[in-house]
Amino acid sequence: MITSITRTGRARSRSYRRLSKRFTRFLVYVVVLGGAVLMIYPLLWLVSASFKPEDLIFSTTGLLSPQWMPGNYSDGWNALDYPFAQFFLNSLIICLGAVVGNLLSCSLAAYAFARLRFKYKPFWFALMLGGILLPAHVLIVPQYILFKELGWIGTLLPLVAPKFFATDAFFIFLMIQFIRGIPLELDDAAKIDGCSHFSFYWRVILPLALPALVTTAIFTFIWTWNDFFGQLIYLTSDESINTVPVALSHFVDSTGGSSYGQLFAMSVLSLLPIFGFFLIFQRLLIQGASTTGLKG
Amino acid sequence: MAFTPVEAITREAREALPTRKRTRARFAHEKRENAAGYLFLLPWFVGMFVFTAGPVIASLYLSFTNYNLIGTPAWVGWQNYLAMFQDPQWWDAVRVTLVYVVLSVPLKLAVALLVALLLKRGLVALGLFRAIYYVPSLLGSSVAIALLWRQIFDSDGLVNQALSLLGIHVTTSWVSTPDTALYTLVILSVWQFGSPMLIFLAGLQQIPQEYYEAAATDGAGPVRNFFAITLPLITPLVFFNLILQMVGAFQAFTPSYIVSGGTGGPVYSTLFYTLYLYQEGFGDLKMGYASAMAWVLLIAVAVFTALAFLTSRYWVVYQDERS
Amino acid sequence: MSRISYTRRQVCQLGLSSLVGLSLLDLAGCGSSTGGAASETLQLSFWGPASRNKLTQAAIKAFHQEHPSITIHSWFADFSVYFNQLNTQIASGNIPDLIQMDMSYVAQYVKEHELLDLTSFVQDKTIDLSDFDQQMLKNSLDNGVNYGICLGGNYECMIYDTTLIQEAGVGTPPATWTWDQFATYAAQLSKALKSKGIYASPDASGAIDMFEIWVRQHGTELWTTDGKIAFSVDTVASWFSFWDGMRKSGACAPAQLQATVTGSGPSASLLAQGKAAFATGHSNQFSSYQTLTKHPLALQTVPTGAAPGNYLKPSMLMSISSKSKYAKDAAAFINFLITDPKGVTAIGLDRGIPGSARARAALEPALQAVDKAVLIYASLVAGNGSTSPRTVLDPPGAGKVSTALSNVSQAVAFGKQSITAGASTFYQDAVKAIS
Repeated sequence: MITSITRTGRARSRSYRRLSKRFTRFLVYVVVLGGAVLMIYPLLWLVSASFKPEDLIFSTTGLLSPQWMPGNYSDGWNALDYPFAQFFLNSLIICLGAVVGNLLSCSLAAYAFARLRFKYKPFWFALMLGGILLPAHVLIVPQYILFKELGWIGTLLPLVAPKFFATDAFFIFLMIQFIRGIPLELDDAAKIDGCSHFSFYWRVILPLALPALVTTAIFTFIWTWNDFFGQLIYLTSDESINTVPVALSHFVDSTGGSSYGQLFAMSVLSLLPIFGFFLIFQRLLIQGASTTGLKG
Repeated sequence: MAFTPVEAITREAREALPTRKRTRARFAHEKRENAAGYLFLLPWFVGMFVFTAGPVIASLYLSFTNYNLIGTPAWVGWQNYLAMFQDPQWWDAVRVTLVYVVLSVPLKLAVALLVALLLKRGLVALGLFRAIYYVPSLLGSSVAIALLWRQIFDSDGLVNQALSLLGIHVTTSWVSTPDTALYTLVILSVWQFGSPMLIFLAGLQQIPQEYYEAAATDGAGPVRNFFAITLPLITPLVFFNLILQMVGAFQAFTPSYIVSGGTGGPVYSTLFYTLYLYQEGFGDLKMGYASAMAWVLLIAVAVFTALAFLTSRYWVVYQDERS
Repeated sequence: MSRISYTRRQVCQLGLSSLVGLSLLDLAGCGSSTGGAASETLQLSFWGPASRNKLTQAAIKAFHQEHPSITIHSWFADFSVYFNQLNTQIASGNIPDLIQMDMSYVAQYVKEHELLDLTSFVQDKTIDLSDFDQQMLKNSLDNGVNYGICLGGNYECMIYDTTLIQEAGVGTPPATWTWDQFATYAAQLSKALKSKGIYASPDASGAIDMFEIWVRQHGTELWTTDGKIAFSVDTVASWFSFWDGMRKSGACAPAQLQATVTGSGPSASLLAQGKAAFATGHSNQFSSYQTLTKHPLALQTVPTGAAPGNYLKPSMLMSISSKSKYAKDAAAFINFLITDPKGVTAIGLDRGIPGSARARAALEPALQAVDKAVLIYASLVAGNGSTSPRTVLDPPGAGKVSTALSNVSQAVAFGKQSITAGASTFYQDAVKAIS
């Protein structure tokens, strides 16, 4: 234990300490700023490259280029067999479908786990938690076969339908945590009023759980938008049901090379929805990401 | 793909499950609640059995068969597993994935913690910096970013251009050289440290300031502070992030597929396990073999997770145990 | 609060029902046929670059004008992923009616009973082969049975960028050359183009078609008549050796550059990317290559060896699925492509030189300079003694041998395997692939 005597023994002048503190602070700013620039530069480069004509993309480093070619966007939009609007629509369909599915089914399950008592509940709860840890690839082959038997391969259904059955156990868990923060007095009050479980769930719990619902919706949207593996497997055969990620992955092959500007333009567009969500829901997103491991 | 809040799971496993005493429980009421519970869970039950538990069992069965989607599965016993261990590409996939996990996860966590430490000091425009560091992890798993990465590390890409500005002239295509291709993917993964960083940041902000003030009166410097106070208190989050990132890294697919053009090359240097699974199962339609591969992955992830759990008692310090 | 939940419920229900509706639309929209007696919808699958797609769409449109009751939808992919995607589609029960087939894969699909025997259509003239080139026809049969109509023949060729050759000042390549002459020329060319960072030739050690020519020049075919490997490990080793020499002298692209080529079509090639002056390919790809660059390209013969190596290859077949409900319509479309002037001119020479004499005559007036060059090349090669008829067919699994060659050659190029080890690895992989 260092006593204050020793401290004063090695005393330095106050101003020196203040200076060194300010210097470290300055250093921290430099590092953080530098790091931020490094982190964000690839994205900035992507945007700037999307406006550059082909021959300048890989020859100039700067973000600003002598020539601007917004035509990359319109050319890229129509570069494939179908305009990108089709692919964006497909992506949108599965994302919205997944969002609705998750919101409904996960909240139902979460309410049951958080608020209701029923037989064998611990067992089902453990099963649900186990489902979160399960690598999806163990399921993918039998699911594929199942969807093949149902005739759903080559449609958007395999990407949407499971969401209506609470297969994203992570969000069940997220909602459970949130619902547990809702005071029990409300439950008791509702019981006295003779409110049924469903109407209590619908009228009281859901509105109060709005932050968890919104977080679920946003993360579901983002993860579904980016889910390349699932889309790659199920959306074969017909280019008209391709989603944006699949279309992007085929882009260079299908357009005869030398079209990186267009590719980057479409890439930028494909990232915009996520970025948009981020801008609007920043606080919620960051809160959601920060608290997935912490008790509220 | 879903994340796994294992930290909470560990706590749940330790605590009793969420049951509550109801002083006004009546038999009929309980029965109604029982029925309500099962009704509410009905969608989940369907999902669990049709899309989760059922497929798990089915894939175990399939792993002992040969099945190419035409006709019926043909029982072959352990053949798929034996073939796996003799398949040089399988070993390539295992090696590549292990290297990826072992490199990217600790690096990512270390950077995340470091940046979180820097940010928690309460800088001006903290929100902006936090946002900038977080955005890559939101966008990073997309096809668009993987395509970008492939071009950035190509022979005339951004990285080489930046290096030449510093006076280092290289013409190697980092993504097309077997010795370096995997590291570009590691860098891509580490670039996405924003998500664990946020978790660390939130955790760091929860450490009571009194601890540091107490240490200051004892004359502790910042380094001592870190090792004596910060690090121990943050270990639950380190553990949580470790599990989360590790499980995610084992299942990575998009970067490998896009950067290598679906080949896992050059010379299998970027053949992630899931990519090889995809090639075998959905390219060659060897569904039995792919199922066996999936089960080996499952077991590997389970083993690593269990190892992490088991060793956690030696280095993870929970607040509620510090009494 | 009840008002809020009421609105939300309405919205939820509306959203749900519209999604269900959309999904049902998807269900209805997928699958091959939607029409009743009025219109029939067929599906066609083929591989190729975007330029081929344009031509195919033109042909489909022309066909539709003559047969308004038949609609054809199509999908296409790069050759390297085409058969994987086709397999997945077949496995999901959704087989295209018209399937473009490659000679190295057709035996596989015939074995699995995926393809329709077209003999009856040929006999009743639904598909008219009366003036079809007999040699090409013979080479496109599987065990003597017609499972796909050859859409065209081509010869293996080299293509080079004349602008780059001129800039290099090394002179144009001779009309015929040996492998050693090619190596010397390429080394000189590379040296001259070094300042631009362009190599003379790609590393073609992984190209099965070039390898096949090498093998044939060494005296055997790739396969025996009973479907086994006919080449020797030594032949493989000498092939790898040659390209090793090319890499060392800088005549061809180094491993790292060649590894950036992950597709197989013209658009993925180093020539199209402006990184190599030469490319190897089939003569029918010449026009595709030309669309990818502004520099004029020219055709060049493949280096010659001790024995004739080149041969007239049935470029691709158009087959009909054995489960197609519209086999007769599909056959009519095939006939349209190979004999009807409108169909023939629509697809042009992109799929090869047509086997039917009528078709060749129909093409004559419409030929562009690019196409004329291909025909000139074809007759040059046919006449200069560098070709011999191929006497064997690819056994099932031949496609995998091609993949194996590409993988092993890459490992050798990067030095991960020695030439001898690589040769033996490839040989074993090939044996395994066709067993």
